[in-house]
Amino acid sequence: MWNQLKKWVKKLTLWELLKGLRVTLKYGASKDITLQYPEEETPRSNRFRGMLALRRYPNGEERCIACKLCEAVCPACAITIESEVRDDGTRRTTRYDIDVFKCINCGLCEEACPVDSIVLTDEMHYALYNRGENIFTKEKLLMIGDLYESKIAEHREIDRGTC
Amino acid sequence: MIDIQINGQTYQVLEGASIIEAADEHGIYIPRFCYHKKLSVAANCRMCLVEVANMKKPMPACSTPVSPDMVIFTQSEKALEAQRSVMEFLLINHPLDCPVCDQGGACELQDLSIGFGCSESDFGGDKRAVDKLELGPLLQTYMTRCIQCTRCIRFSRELGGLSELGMIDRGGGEKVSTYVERDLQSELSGNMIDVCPVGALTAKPSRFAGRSWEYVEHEGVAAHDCLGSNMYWHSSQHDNVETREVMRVVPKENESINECWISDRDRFSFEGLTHESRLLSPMVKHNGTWKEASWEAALSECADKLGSLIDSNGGDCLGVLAGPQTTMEEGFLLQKLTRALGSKHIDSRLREQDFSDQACRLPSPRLGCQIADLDSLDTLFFFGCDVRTQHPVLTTRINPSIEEGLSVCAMNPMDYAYTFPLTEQVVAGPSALLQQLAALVALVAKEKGESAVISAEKPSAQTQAIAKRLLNSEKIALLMGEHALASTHASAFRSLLSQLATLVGASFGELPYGANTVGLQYVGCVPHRQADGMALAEPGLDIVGMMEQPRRAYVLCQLEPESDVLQAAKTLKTLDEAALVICLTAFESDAMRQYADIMLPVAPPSETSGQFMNIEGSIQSFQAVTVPHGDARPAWKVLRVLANFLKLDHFEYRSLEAVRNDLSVVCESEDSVCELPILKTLPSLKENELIRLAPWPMVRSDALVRRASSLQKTLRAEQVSALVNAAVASTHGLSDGSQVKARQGDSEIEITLRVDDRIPDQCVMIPSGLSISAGFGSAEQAVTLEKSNA
Ligand code: SF4
Ligand code: SF4
Ligand code: SF4
Ligand code: FES
Repeated sequence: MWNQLKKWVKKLTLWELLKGLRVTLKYGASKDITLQYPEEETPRSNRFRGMLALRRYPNGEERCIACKLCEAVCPACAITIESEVRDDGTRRTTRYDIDVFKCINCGLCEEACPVDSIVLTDEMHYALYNRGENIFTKEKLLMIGDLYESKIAEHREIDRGTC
Repeated sequence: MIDIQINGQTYQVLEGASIIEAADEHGIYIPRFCYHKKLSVAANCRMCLVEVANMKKPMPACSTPVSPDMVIFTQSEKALEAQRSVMEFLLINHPLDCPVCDQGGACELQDLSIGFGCSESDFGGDKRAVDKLELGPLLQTYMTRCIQCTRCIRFSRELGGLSELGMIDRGGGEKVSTYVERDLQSELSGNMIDVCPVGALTAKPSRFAGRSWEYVEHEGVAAHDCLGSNMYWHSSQHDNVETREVMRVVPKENESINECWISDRDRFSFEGLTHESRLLSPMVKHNGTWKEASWEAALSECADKLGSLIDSNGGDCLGVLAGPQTTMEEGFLLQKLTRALGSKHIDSRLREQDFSDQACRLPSPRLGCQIADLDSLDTLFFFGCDVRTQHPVLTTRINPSIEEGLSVCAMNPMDYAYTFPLTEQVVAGPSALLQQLAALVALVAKEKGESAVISAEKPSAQTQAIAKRLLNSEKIALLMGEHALASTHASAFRSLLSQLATLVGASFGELPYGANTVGLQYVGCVPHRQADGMALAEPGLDIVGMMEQPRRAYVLCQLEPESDVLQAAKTLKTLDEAALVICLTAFESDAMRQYADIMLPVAPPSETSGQFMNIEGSIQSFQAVTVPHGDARPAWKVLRVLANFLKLDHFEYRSLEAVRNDLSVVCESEDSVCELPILKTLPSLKENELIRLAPWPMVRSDALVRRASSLQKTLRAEQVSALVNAAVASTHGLSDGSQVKARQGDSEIEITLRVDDRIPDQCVMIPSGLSISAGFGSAEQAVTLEKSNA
């Protein structure tokens, strides 16, 4: 008898419906978490391994000394370097190519580099439209380095002394 | 043999050996810097400290001799601790240069600091820095990296024979120096790069070109002298044969030939491989203008022109010359082709001009003993041989042997700057030299109680001293050098020297120029013998004959006649007048564009496979390192296809191995004895003529080295000038540094004159092979000098 009454009350007050709506109302009232990609992005670690770049010293001199350690360590054999004696007697590259199709963004090159020249920036938005663009030449890599220098330096600063 | 214990194991070792030698013998590694098995023991680095039972302190393994029942620990805590501390001290002053250091990856200090170094340093002071040392165009120095092991100093003193380096200052300021600033003069200086355990001495020509781990090593044979030194070519790009390039050359150990040394010429000549004058495609001359052609077109042009000349004039109208870098297979095909075309006129003895005794000579020249035998001689007698510049590696055996009592005597056309002291020496012009040699033979014969076959002048005091030395020595080697071979009296020299050798019981041998002159003569690139060594009843024309009785057509394989033959002027003239000159060559030159009609690009030694025979008679084969540049092809392929175009039979070789098999079947090696004619009277000698000595400087000896740019920078002023002694200069009214006109027949050059008292009377030295002397006159012939007006 009592059960019958409870059932009818629930039916007439649309109790089940309200119970279902509770989740809707709860999420309707809570803060939005969907990101409007590409206008908005998830935050990335300062150690994120994205597009490659070659850095310079503050005086504009390229850092790379053609020691070829990155070429040797690269598990994907993506790096090709040729070197020479520059007119001022220092050791420099004449060619520094990275095939980004081969690159697996492991970051070993950055780790091997004794002068912090080759680095992985946190940039991940880049696309290649034509065959051949996958070879990042020295000029291109230095240009990327120039564009991102402040960010690269900032990210390296956070990790200073930790590794 | 005695028993010792190393690390708990008992070994049998030679008595008197040092601990490090005993350990090396049994494959137990002891770290070391200053010890080098070919150098004296300095024991100054202390890296090799090991623990010896019953000794309070650790002992240096390189300078402690083993004693019976010695108990040694190389890995005990005490030994390791000592090694670690030595390493720590060494690294105090060592720069952090590894990433830019050419030694990186192949550095003994790097290796040992992985094994014994600490990753942190307790040292806080300023590091030592040392100025660079200027050592010339071949060696680059970074003296801050030097660890004062003195290996370079010991090499230059003991094996180079010149003591060009030494230590100056004391303690922390101690540094390697040349005392007075000057370039290294040694022909072996490159070896210091190898002995230096660190990157203090590195090779300038291959500086910063690559890292040691990316090079691929290919075995090779040095292509510039008749010793056949073993070496490695180091090439880049191991995964892509097409883009492979030779990056550097290092020695390969071969105890019986070059031990672990090579000459600078062998080490740095690779630079010439990429010279701009490389011929990259076949070229054909039509009405005086050169045009590139396809192989097909060029070869059919060769076949047409050669074929029609031979059809109308007979095979006799063809003359063939082979240069010394032609491999044995190529030489074999070349003589086969020549003889198939009906010509007997083929020669490879570019730097000889007296062939009167050729029928009695050995089929190919020999040293008369093994190269390694030079270590254990009592007396070595050089006749007309500048061993230092022509066969530098031999001096690494002679220099240390001097300490052990070897005495060297010489009879030379000038006082060569040997790196070792001579016990006795006769310096005289070519004719006087012949007289003194005859006098020497007569004197020795008299002493031995044999009847002298030759009547000679009175021997000079030095000749008498040489005779005495020869009579009092047991083991003697007589060596006839490049000058004697090039002389117009060569056969007389040879006959007298072989008589002398018989009289004193010495070995007698020759030291000809070029990598494969020996092999080419062996496979029959001579007019008087076939490939099987059989003498021809009617020999063809030799190189001199071919120019005196000009042929209509010539084929030149891998030589530049203007700079490679003795009678350059006459050769050029004959070639200019010939109806057809076909050059198989790796490099072109202006002169070649003049006389040649067709130039076919062939591969230099690093781009072809083949075999060279060295002066001991051992055949060494090598593989191509890179693909030929441009359209060049190995010469054996070119010759094979040319024969096909000429429709000759038996040229269906499918591979180099097929040629090699055929060659080894035809050319059976048998040790024939030579019976040289006994000289009874001296040839008539001309007096009062100025004779031209015409040696080739080391770095001008063949087409490849002439194009190696760093080696060219080592040419010193006196090597590119005419040299006369003060007496000759004053009789001609010439002074040091003046410009003179030298004339031989029609040809004339202007050259700077220098007064040098190493030159005997009646002689003037005008080097061959230089760009100024290309195509000039003939060696060993009369020359006139006059003051230039300009
Ligand atoms: S990130 Fe890794 S794969 Fe990419 S270039 Fe560097 S080492 Fe090579
Ligand atoms: S000599 Fe060896 S340890 Fe010294 S900088 Fe060069 S590679 Fe490094
Ligand atoms: S330069 Fe090299 S070989 Fe010479 S003392 Fe220094 S480290 Fe030794
Ligand atoms: S190797 Fe023994 S002290 Fe240097």
